[in-house]
Amino acid sequence: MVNGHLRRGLKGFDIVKWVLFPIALTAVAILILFPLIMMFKGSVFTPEGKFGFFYFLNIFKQKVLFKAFRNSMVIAVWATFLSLLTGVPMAWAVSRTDIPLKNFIRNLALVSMVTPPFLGAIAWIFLLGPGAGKLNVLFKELFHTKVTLFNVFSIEGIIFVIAMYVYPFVFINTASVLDNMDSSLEDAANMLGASKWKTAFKITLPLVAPAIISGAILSFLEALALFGVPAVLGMSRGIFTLTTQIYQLFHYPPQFQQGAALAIPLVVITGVLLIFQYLYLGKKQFVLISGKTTQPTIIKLGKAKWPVLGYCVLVVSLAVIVPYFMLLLISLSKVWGVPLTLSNLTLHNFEFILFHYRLSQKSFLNSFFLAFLAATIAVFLALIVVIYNKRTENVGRGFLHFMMVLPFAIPGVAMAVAFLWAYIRPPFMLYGTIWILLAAYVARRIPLAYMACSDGLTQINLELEESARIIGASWFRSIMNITVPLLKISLVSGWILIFISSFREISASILLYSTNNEVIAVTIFTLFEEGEFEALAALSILVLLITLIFVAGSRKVVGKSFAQVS
Amino acid sequence: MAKVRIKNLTKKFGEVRAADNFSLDIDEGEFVALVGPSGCGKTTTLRCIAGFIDPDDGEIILNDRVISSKKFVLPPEQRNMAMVFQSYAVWPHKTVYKNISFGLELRKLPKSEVRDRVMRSLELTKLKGLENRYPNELSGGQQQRVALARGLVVEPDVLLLDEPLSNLDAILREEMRFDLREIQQKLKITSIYVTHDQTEAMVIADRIVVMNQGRIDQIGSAEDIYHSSKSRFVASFVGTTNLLKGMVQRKDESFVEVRTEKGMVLRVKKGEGNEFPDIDSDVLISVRPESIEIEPSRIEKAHNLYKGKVVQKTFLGSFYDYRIKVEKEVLRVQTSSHKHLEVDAEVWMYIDPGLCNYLKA
Repeated sequence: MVNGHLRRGLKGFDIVKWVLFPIALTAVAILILFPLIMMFKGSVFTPEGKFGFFYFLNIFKQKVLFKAFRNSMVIAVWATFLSLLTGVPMAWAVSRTDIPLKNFIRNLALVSMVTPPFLGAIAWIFLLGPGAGKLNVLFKELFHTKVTLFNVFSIEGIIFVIAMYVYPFVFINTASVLDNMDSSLEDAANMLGASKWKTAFKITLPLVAPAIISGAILSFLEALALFGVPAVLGMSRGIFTLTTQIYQLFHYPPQFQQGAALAIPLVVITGVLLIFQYLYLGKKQFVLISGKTTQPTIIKLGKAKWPVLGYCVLVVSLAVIVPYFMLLLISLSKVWGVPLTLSNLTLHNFEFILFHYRLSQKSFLNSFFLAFLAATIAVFLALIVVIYNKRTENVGRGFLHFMMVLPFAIPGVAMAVAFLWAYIRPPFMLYGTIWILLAAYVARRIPLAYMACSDGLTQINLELEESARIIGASWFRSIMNITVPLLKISLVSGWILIFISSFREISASILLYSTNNEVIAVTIFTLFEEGEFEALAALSILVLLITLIFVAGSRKVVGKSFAQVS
Repeated sequence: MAKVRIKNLTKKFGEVRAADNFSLDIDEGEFVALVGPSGCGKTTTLRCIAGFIDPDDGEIILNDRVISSKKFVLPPEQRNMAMVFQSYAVWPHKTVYKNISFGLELRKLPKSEVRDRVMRSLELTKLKGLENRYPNELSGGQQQRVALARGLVVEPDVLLLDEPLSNLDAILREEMRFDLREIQQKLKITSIYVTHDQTEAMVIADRIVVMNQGRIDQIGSAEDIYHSSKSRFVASFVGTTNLLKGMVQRKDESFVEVRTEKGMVLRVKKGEGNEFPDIDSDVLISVRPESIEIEPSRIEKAHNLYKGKVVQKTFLGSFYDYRIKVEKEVLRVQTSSHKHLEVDAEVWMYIDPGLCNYLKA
């Protein structure tokens, strides 16, 4: 239905034309368009201004670069494979079988999704480091051998740790479809004489396949984009991925052009897969939900439920319980490595990072400041664009929509590269200030706020606004008094999501921070490189604690569906 | 109190003409219903009157002031109208009181007056005592009353209602019809009501406008529309009817004799509505099922008496619904629920020439 008049604002002053549109356009230009253009430009021009694709060709010509590319692919493919191996059976188990502890497993899967993966990586060093890793030591003592059980500083180690933090994409996607699927589809197969196992494999699995593939794509992309895990586990052993190689290229001697060219494959792969997911899988997924609420048929596993439960508990233990426990132990130790006795436990490390260590205090404040502002600005901008897109008929709506979801396809490191290209020199010299971090955080996370607002607004019947207009409210008044209050939950959930992910952001920060503008993740990384493990662990525990508090708070606000967005 | 004049209103969506040269005058205090099947343009017309849609052509005039035309469209908030929607559109984040007082607060009235007027409209709509509830604590019917009260409280010149009862269950719907009519009569407020339900329009409106494909097919009272339908569309849309296609064989001053395609010969009395057809012209005769008499024994009539057979019978509580075969025609006949006839029974059937309505074929 055409609503010509919704765009007419106050008398004689078109608020949409002179306020909303300029704000939306400026934001998009500063945050997304300009940096990307600069990055693409940077990748095809030499410092002398010669045009060509040599920096792309280098990826295949230079052994180091090609190795990084290959490592990234190997890691992402294997991590995705492990995600499927863990996520799918677990989703089926919690959704369709009678195993106990279902909520416990679901919640811990959510926790592993919000855990910063590089903290997991650090924790696993203490468990599976080749020399002093607790599990390796235990193995050597038990079997009186000198063989190392598993060296986490390896491609396999990186794959294993990444898989522990990307499998929730598969798990949550699959479980939510299984939870909502009309189980009469399965009942029909049972009635025709198929056994419960046959039904599971022949009926349920194919029906859930689009959701599984969609989750696998998200896992793959996350594995590809991660910086922290390969940085912690690979760089010291000469194992590089695209993200860590880009980081390396921006250090001495800096090769900005090559860095930009290396970021582009990341953007392209991500873009292509997301478009595939949107076009092909997006449509297929909803056919299963009939609208009736039917209780899914629960399969009674009998004795088989113990091994199934064991498998689920093993996965969540490896991803959450063991590493969290490890970090907690280290954070409470006077010196890591001495025997664990009560007299060796202390709260000194927490005291140190909170009250005596300037860098951690500074970075705590910076991260709070940045996450708070980034979330607020992103939500505000997203709200303006969504209202412009969905409640007016002015020009440029399609373009703005595309720009708002585009950052989904830009991994953090690539985003940082783009921002370096755009804002390292005049006329926009933001590098060296805290504002470049703020801009990058807003740009990276604005799709979260945009999607939340957009979904929220889609559910608000236009008649709610029209009924305000007709009894005397102006367009602006009806938006402020009716629409915005009704969007409150979407706005709050978008805000919290952005706060959580910005608070511990590492991929973009590692390239964009400067002295005095350190953020928490950078400080943890610095402590790691300096070997300050006890302080590092204490800081990590605080980060995890704050994250979990916010997650719990947001679940209160928006209910279960929150688990589906990250 | 206001007069509304719609002159040659036209609105196209792509190739579809949602309103096609639509003209209508609505009197002060009149209650008009726009009826028609979905997609006939009734809602588009209403939304043009509200100011939510710009017309492509034509004018809407409120008390001598042009409020919508090709060149100028007054925004909805400046029209002093109110509207009730099918979805209720009660604001879920405001209490009943706040929902109703919103329009008054926009007008910056003193608090005591706001309170008085809200209370009065609560009483009028039988919502007293619910003012502190939130919409999700109310039933569908109560929510729709809130929507109505919210509109009435601003004392609008015109009240617009867009299928307001369609989401309610049958019993409540019937009750609300009478309440709506009663309130409108009490306040004498000019009202325009859109519905696809012809019975609803008959209960509520002074005048009914039957719309089809963006145009007005007929305007009139419920009786006019039902008994003197002007087109095949109106006859079949408003209630059920038998439509018999035929040709005029004989004609005198007050009667025509029509032979239907399937072999019935029917005398039809001259009526007031449509043009009296000429000899040899094709006509369509509409006969309402309850206007046909059937008896197991012969009826003493000179004309329009037929012998037929019961093909089907359905008992519907307040009446019987029969299909009677005469020659090759099958007619639908409704009788009192006490007139029981068996299937296959022979019956005599009489059609009063005065109760037949001729239409253009």
